[in-house]
This record gives sequence, structure tokens and C-alpha cells, in this order.
Amino acid sequence: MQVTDKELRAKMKKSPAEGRRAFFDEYCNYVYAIVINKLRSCCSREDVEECVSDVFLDFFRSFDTIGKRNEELKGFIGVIAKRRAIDMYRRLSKGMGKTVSIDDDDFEEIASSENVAREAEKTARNELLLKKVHELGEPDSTIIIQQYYYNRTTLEIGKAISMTAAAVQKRSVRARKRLRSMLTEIGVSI
Amino acid sequence: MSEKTDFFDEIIDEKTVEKISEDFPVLSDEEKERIFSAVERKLNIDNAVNTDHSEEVSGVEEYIRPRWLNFISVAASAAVLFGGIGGSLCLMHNMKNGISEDPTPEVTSESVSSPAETPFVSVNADNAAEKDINSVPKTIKAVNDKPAEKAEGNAFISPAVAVVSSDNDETSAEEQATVPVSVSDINEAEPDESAEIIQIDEPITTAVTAVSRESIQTTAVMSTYDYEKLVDTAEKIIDDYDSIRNITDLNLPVIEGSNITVIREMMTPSGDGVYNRMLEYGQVDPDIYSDMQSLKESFYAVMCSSVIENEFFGDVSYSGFSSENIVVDHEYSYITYDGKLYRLLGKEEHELEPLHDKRVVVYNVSEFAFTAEKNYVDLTDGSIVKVKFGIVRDYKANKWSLLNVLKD
Repeated sequence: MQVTDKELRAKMKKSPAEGRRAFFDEYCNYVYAIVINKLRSCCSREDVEECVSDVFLDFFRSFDTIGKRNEELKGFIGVIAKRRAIDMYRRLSKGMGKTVSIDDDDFEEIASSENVAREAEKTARNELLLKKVHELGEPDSTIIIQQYYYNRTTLEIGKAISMTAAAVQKRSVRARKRLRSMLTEIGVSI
Repeated sequence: MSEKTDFFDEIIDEKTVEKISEDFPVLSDEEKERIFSAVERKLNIDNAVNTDHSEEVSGVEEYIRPRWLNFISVAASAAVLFGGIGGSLCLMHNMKNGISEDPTPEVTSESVSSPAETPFVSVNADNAAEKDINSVPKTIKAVNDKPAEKAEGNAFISPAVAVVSSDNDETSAEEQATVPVSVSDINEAEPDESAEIIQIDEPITTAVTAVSRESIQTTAVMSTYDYEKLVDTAEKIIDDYDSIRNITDLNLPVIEGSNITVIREMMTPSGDGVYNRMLEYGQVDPDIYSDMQSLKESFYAVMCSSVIENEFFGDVSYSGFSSENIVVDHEYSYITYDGKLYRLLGKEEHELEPLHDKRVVVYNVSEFAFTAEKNYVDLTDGSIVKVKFGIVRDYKANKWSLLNVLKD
């Protein structure tokens, strides 16, 4: 059930505890998706959950401030999640030796934060990819997203969709082949 | 894993992420609960920390002063105020009394009635000149109205002068006469003038009294203006005098067949220096008494002794000790007191008994002397006799001393 921001604000005002719970249920998947998009390659599952909890903590702390400004809560928490994820990524990347010295010969020049052409190309590609994933149909689409976006194991995926890990693995292999052929047909190479 | 990167390793835009989150929610209920619990835990900790630093204090606590404290403050202030005022008034009153209590020497005068009966005269020279000299042939003037001048002159002039008895032998007239004398006169008297040699052919009788030396020596009184102290001093001196005078029945050691020569200074002044000093202070009328000899012939000392140390006879006259070359006039009574020989009295015509029920009256008070008067009963005829004692201040010995005695 979709809950509007107005209802969430009313709940937060009426009962902060219940309001927080409702707000969390509404936006937890969204925040999780943003965070894991950034931390997928470097962090464990616990680090991701820690970052998600920090995002909601920051949001609840600043709710009194943003609550008075009639802004969109989803966009606000999306910004918090993105920046929190970046902070976490930088902090954990230092420990993993992923920093690059500025004097290194391999150090590339700092690119502009906005590459319009590339951004537009990626957005179009992502839209096509997601469209073809949906065309795979359930449960193959779910298996592909959870396995390659959320970094879930076949065991976790099978538990979530009530299948065995081996069945998930087989369906995942078949789904990847189908998706690749579908993207090749439209001229998208992966 | 390589396959994973093939799909989602590239940068994914926000819109795609939003769609993924909406189309493929991944969080199970267990994961949601775990993450939300972590959020709540952190939030509670944060609230607790913020609560500690976010306390707000508003308003002002009003201090209510107890009412009883006001009463106590008022009472204490009043006590201090009235105490100060009362103390000041009391102090002012006492200071006023103290100023008014400034002692003024009492000056009394006596009129001359009879030369034989009243030898004291306290009139000045002009008044004395107006009186009939023939009718008062044996009167000297006692200067009583200028004690300060006397003090400055260091010359006490006693108001009491004894009358010479006509029955006395002529040979003892000089020793029997007593005139007013100051301590300085006594001290300054030259040995040639004052020393007398008394010879006695008969065994003399000496008496040892039971009176202590302290009792016979008068008490030194620092303040001469305290009347009560003067009375006490006079009473003690008079008691000593009476105790000595009445010694008659004691078994005194007898020095038989000895001639005692008194070489020490007798207390009776006889020098011209004393006479001249008396003339200087108007104590004696030169028209009446031309010299010291005539003055001595006219008066008789009831008691010529004094307790002044340098008027003692000295150690040579110890009781029971017969010293040669000491001649004692038999006309006098001698006693030994505290191991020393004193001349006690001349011959008294009457036997007097002191009246102890009446206090001594002190008058003619000056810094150096005063006169004490006491009533006695003459046992021969029962009449009341006033005896006047001249008492002088001996600053050298720091005590009062009996100078002379006069029967009124």
C-alpha cells in the first residue's frame, strides 16, 4: 500500500514511533537499493545494512527541520542515502588499499562529475536492460536482479522465492543466456 | 562473478534504482526488523545524549525571606541602637559625676578662744592683727588655707601645737616643747642642732610591747584626698598611739645603774631652721614668739615620738642591753619597740581613755598633712577631751606618721 508523504508527516506528528516505522517500511527498499548500488563491490552485507540504518537515523534527526518545509521526502532521503553510501565507500576503500596516489603515473585526470553524453547513454542502456529483465518473466527477472544487483547468493534467492539453490542456479544460467540474446537483437552488447 | 559485472557494474541512474527498488524489493521482514532496530537503538542513544545537553532552564526562582527574620533584624537593630544611646548617656553621666567629684581640700578654720585651751589658729595675718594680742599672748597662726603652697614649699605646717605644761622642770623644757615640723625639716636638721644628750641617774624602765611594727607604723596611703582612707589612717595611728601611751603594767626589763646616752636625733625639732620656716609660712607670730626657745617654752608635746625610721633611737638601745654614754631623761617614759628605744611621753596631767565608739574626724587636709580629732574621756574628772593629732606624710618612707598630739 502506497503511503503519501502527507500521511507520513501526520503519523510522525501524531506518534513519532509509529511514524518512523511507517516511514521506514515505505522507503527501506529504496534506500537499500541506493546504498547497495554504491557499496556492492566493496562492502559486506552488514556494512550495507549499517549504512542504511545511518541513512534513516540522519533522516529522523533532521525530520523536524524538513518536516516544516513541504518537500518531497523520497527525494530528501534519496540524497541522504546517496551521500551516506559515498562516505561509507570512501571510508572502506581506504582500508582496502583502493586509494591512488596523486603522484602515480597511472593516476588519471579527474573527470568532470557530469558527462552528459555518457550519462544519457547509460540511462538509455539501463532502461533497455531493465526492460529486457522484466521481459524474462518471473521468477527469472527476480533471480537476475537479486543475484546481480543485490549480490544475493542462490541460497538466499531460493529461500526468498521458495526454490532450491540448484534450481535457482539453473534458472539463472538460462535467464542470462536469454537476456544476452535479447540485448544482442536490439544492438546492446554486454 | 564476471557475469555480474556484465549487467550492473556500470553507474546506474537514480531513476533505474528507484524502479528496481519498486519492482524488486529485496529486504525480507527479518532484515527490515534488524535494520529498524539498529535505527531505533541509535536514535535512543542520540536522544539520551542530546537530552543531557538540551535541558532548558526558564523562569526565576523567587526567594521568600522568612517573616520572623525581619522581626529579629528589627529587634537586633533596636537593641544595638538603644544600647549605644544608653551607653553614651551613661558614659556622659559618669564623666560628669567624675568631674564634679574632683576632690577639694577641706579648709576649716577655728577661732581663737583661749591661748591655753585653743592653740590652733587658722586666721590670716590681718585678722590676727585685729585680735587682742594681750588677751591671746600664746597663739600662733596655723596656715591652713593654702595647702598647695605648702606642698610646693615642701613644708608641712601642722595645725596642732601642744601646750607647754607649767609644771615641767626647766631642765627638760627644751625636749618637751614640740612645734609643727615638716618631714624635710626633720631630715634636714643638722645633727648638732637636733642631737640631744639625755642623761639619767636612775634605772630606767623599758617596756616591750606586743604591738607589731606594722601596726605602729602607719599605712601608707597613696591618695591623700580620700577622706575615708585618711580617717582609717588616722585611726590606726591613733590606736598605735593609745597602745603605746597606755603601756604601764608591763614587766619591762630593767637596766639598772646604766647611763644611756642617746646620740641619735630626737624627733623634737629645736633648730632655728625650723623656726624660720614656721615664720616663713606664717605659722608663728614673731611678736609673740621671738625665737625657738620661747616657742618651746610655751608648748608641751603630748607625744614627741614618731615612727619615722630615722627618729628611732637606734640599735644601741636594745632592750636589756646597757650601753654606756646613753643618758635618758627621767622625765620621759621610754619604751623599746621592735628592739629600739623610743621616748614615749612626757608627764601627762590627766589620764585619758579613748572613746572608740566615735570615729575620728579629719580636717585641714592638704597634700602633705592633715589633722585628726578624737574625743577622750578624762578619767580624773569624767570630762570629754578633744585630742588633735597632727599627721604628716613621709614620702621618703612612703607612709603617714604621727607628728604631734594636742589636748584641746
